[in-house]
Order: sequence, then C-alpha cells, then structure tokens
Amino acid sequence: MRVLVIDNLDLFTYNLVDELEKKECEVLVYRNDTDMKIIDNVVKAFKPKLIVISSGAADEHGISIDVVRAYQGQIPLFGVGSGMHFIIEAFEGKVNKSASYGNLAKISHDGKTIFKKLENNFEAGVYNTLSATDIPYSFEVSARNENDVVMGIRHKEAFVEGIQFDPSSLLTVSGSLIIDNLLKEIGKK
Amino acid sequence: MLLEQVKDAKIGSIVPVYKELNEEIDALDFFRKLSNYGNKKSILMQGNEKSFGSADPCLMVVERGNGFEIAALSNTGKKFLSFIKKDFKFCDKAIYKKDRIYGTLTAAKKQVSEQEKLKQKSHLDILRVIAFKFKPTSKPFSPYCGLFGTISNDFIAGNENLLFNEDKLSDPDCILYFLDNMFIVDHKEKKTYFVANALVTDNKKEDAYRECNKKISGYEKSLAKKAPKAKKYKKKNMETSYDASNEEFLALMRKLRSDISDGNILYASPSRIIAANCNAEPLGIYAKLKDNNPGSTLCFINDGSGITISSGAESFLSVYDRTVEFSICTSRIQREISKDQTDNDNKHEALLKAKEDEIFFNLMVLDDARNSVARISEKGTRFVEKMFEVNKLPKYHYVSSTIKGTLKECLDALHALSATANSSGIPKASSMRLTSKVGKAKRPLNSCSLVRLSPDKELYGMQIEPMRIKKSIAYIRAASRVFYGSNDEKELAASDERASRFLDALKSAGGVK
Repeated sequence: MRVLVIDNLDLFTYNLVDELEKKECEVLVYRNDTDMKIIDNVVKAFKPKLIVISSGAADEHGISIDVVRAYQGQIPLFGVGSGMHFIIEAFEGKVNKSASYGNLAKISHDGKTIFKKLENNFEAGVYNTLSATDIPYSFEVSARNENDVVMGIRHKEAFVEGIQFDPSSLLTVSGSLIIDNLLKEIGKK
Repeated sequence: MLLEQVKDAKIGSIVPVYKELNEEIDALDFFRKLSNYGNKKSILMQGNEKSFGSADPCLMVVERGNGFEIAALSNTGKKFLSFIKKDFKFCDKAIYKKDRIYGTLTAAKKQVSEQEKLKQKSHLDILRVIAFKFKPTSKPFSPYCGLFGTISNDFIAGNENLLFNEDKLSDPDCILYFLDNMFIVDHKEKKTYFVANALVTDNKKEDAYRECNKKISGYEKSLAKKAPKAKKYKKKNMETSYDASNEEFLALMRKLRSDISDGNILYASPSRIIAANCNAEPLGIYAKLKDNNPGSTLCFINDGSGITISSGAESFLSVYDRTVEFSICTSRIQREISKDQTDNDNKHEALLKAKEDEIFFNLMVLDDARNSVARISEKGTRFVEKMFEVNKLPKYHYVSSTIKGTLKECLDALHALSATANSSGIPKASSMRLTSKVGKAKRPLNSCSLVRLSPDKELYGMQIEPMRIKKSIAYIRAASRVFYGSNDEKELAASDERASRFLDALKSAGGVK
C-alpha cells in the first residue's frame, strides 16, 4: 500500500515509517514546510492510499492542516499525536494545554476500526502535552485515557482517524496491531 | 611480502604497511615525543581498548560556512591532492593548487522527500571524496588510516534552515586530518603498531613503499627519544567568565520550558560558554583530565588554530559491515565508592533507576534514538539491543542503551552520522531552531561529533562537548537539560558540575590557582 507521510519535524516519524514498511507499505515522507503544490503533484503521481500526519511541534503545523482540508473524503487520513490535533483544527475544533503530561497512558476505546481486537485499558506511550477540548461535530471520540483526556477521534463519515498516543513508541505494545487494523480498514474501502 | 602487496596494488589503492611490537607502550608519553608536547598539528585518541595518534597527517580538511579548504601537510598530501583534483565538480567552485584545494559549496535545499533529502548535495560530500577515494587492499586492524577530527553538529545539519548566530571563537565548522600514518596501542592484546599506508597514485610503487618504511622507522626512533619537557608557567589566579549569568540562563531555560508546555518541543539542551584563562601546556591539561576521569574516552587535537580536548561522550555511533550501532548515554548520577560507602553507592544507583522524571527522560531519548536509526536502516532491521543498562565509571553511574540496524543499501556511514548527530533536543529540527534562537552563540566545535572515517567506509563517531583552547583562553560549553519534570536549578548545577572537570584539569595542570 502506498502511504504519504507529512512529517511534522521528525518527532518519531521514522519509528512509524518503519512500522508501515514492515507491513509492506511503500512510504514517501515529506516535511510539513513543503510547498502545497509539490504535495499536490506528489499525490497525483504517487497515488497514496493513505496520508499520515505525523506528530511534531504544536506551533509548526506547516501544511498539515491544508493537507487535511484538501484530501479529507478523497484519501484516508490518519493523524498521530499533534497530527490528531491538526486534524481537529482543520475541522474547526479546539486544542488546549493538558494538565497531565506523562509517558504511559491507559487507553479505553470503542473497539471499532483501528481498535478492533484490542483489549480495553491497554497501555500506550504518550508524549504530547496538549489535549483536544472541542471535538468537531463531524467527529466521534474513539478513545480516552484514565483522566478522560481524548486519545482518539474518528470522522463519522469520511475515513479520518486520529490518535494522541504514539503507536510506534516502545511503550505501546499494541501499536503494531493498530497499524494492522488501520491498513485492513483502508483495504476494505 | 608487504613490498609485493604494494607492487601488485592497482592505482587508486591504499596498502597498509606496518610493524607490530609485542609491547603496550604508553600512548600519551609517546605522543608527547611525536608532537613536541602537543605543539605540532596532531591528534591523539585514547580509550579503554585502544589508543592511537599521529603528529604527521598528510591532509587537513577545514570547512567553514560555504567555504572549504583541503591543505597538503606533506609530500604524500600533495600527491593525494593531485589525485583527487578533478573530483570536486559538484562544488560551486573548486580551485586546485599544488598544496591545497579550496572552493565553495552551497548545500542543496530543494523541496524533496525526506528520503531524497538525506542524499542531497551537502558539505559531507567533500569528506566522502577524501575518505573513500582510495580502495584498501587489506584491513590489518582498526583504525589504520582515514579521516580523523571533529565536525560541528550544526554543520552536520547543513540541510536544515537554522538561524546561525555569530561564532565568537571564529572556529571552522569542521576540522579533520587524513592520517596516512599513525601509531596504535592495543591495550587488550598488549601490542603496539606503527602503520604507514602506501597511497598508490602512480606507478612509482617502490618509492611509495620506501616512504612508508621511512615513516615507520621514524616512529621507532621516536620510541628511544627523551620526552620533551613542558614549558614552565608562572602561577596566575584563575579567572572565569560566563557568556550568560545564572539568572539569564535560568530565564532561557524557562523560555524553553514554556515551549515544552506549549507542545512545541519535548526536550531541549541549552548551553552557555565558560571562558577561563589557560596557563599550562594544553597536553598537560589533557593529562590531568585523563588522571581525573579514569575510564573515559579522551581526545586531544591540535589543528594549528586551536586545541580541542574532550573526555567522555553523550553517544557513540559505529557503522561497519553495513551494521549501524548507536549507543546513547542518558541519565547519570554520582558514585560513592570508598569501602564504607558501598551501601550509599547502591542507593545512588537505585535512585537513578527509580526517579520518575529520569525514567521519562530515558524513554523519550531512546524512542528518539530508535527513530534516528530507523531513518537510515532497511525496513524492520532496527532493534534495541541493550535497554537502560546501568554502567559504572569510577566517578558516576550512567544509563545507556544501544540500538542496531542494517544500513540502507543506498546510504553510507556519513548519512548515518547525519541522521544521528543531535545534541540540541527532541524533536531535533525544532529544538535546534529554538536553541539557536535563544542561545547566545552558534554551536561550533564545542558541540560536535568526533569522528574517524576509514577508506573501507567504516565510521566511529561520538557526540562530545569538548573544551576548546585558543590564545590561552579555554572555552567550555556547559550544556543543560530541560524536559517535563526536570528542575532548572538542579540541572544548571549539574551542568556546572560537568564543566568543572575541565576547570579542575586547568587548575591541576599547574598554571592557575
């Protein structure tokens, strides 16, 4: 499967790329400061089946929000960490500073799509300090942590999903299964 | 037999010619003789397993901004230059003279995929030409020749758009020697080698062989020589100054902490420069640093414009047989090793393992290191070989982890260096920008990678924060840490404590009180 990754300044991006490549994905990575016209041309030529918005600096989303707006509904989108927050912002939702900041979270989820076959309250690595406070109407919350902070979102109609924890962190044992589920769900479309 | 190897070698080959001694010589004492107490252009690296050095490099490579110069330091160096003179067509300008090649190169900043970006034209390409030009006919031991020296971390990140502040030391971005001859002391095998490599640039192969033997006998003669005496210095009071006061530096740490709270970075390593008067032989200071820090990996480099001295490293990178091995040293804590304090020493170690903020820090840095190795490795080959091991040096415990991977077929050791060099924070690009924005000085050779790169494309590198001595002033970079849960005052004190090993060496070398 062809995957285009928008790299928000290399925050664990290649851990995720390696996870995708292990599952036989062909991955192209472009920095978030790339001209949008170049990304449009890459999409035309590369024809990705999935666009991943990686985690990174909260104040340097670059083209991430533009990419979400341009390709939602056309190509499946998956946001990780800040990538999830950029999806929320692209749909006019809000993200605020979170009181909690830890690296091990217990994730409870709805068992759908990317969370299929995952036990509830699984442990995951989280590095991000921010939390979603205003989820856009077109989205549902798919996962939360033990402090009720939003850890996953899913668009109600289009294939747009986001998770705040890092599926490729050493602390996320279930991360590989989440990526498997993600690719299977896209394969169904 | 070695003569036959040289005679059979094709033009463009490098043939190691060497002599083996069944004794472990005192590397520092021998280097004193070779380098006239460190006053010649020279390099010495000392570790637990091997020590090696030379005071007769054939080339010196200096890069500064867009400019570069490769200077011949011997006749072998002149032949080397003549042999590579046509290999710099990728540069904006490259002018060949008998004793140097100089020119300019603008690093490519085209918007391409990140996979392509690693392969874009950069200043590291100049080092590639020199390091990999000659093909070795054999590899008797490691190291035996190649490029040795320091490359600043900002320079390695040449394709990033960084804000560069003024470098107050006017230092270049990288200084490396090509060593065609050197001595190697194998501490494990208790052997010493004198090696002089024949660089086959034409058909005068016997001349090249004779030249090698001359260099080896020069090493043998030096063994018997008396060591030169250090100059005598009149005692002076030690004077130190900081480019940022404690209050200014704490304010800078607070600014970075707010960037962490805002989700812009996870970790930053700001630093300040301590300047101290240096009133002793630099090699004498190095010797004191070695005495005071047993077990550390040390280096001494005199590049003609300044002296670089380092002890210890934050990370180690090695690339061999397409294997990438990246070791990171993260948290550390002091030791108490006298007999009646064994229990206290155990308590320090337990604290190192149990502190929540340090656990968080270790995990974050390990995930970042996995990320760096994944970037340059074949898919699925990156793994953590060693996780959070507590190691003991005589003065402190430290946590280390090692990540391994198989280097991608299309990349080489310098790409691995480019992907892993990072002393600014996490994520690398954002923290580099932020620290270069709020920091006072550009990070030149005070924050660099110490590398050795051999013709067979092996690389050994380590991230160091060395002391730089120029015109009787020693410049010490005191780096700190800011991350979630860290305490700025404690981190500042810890960075001063780390810098104090250099100040102690300056004092104990005898010239300052």
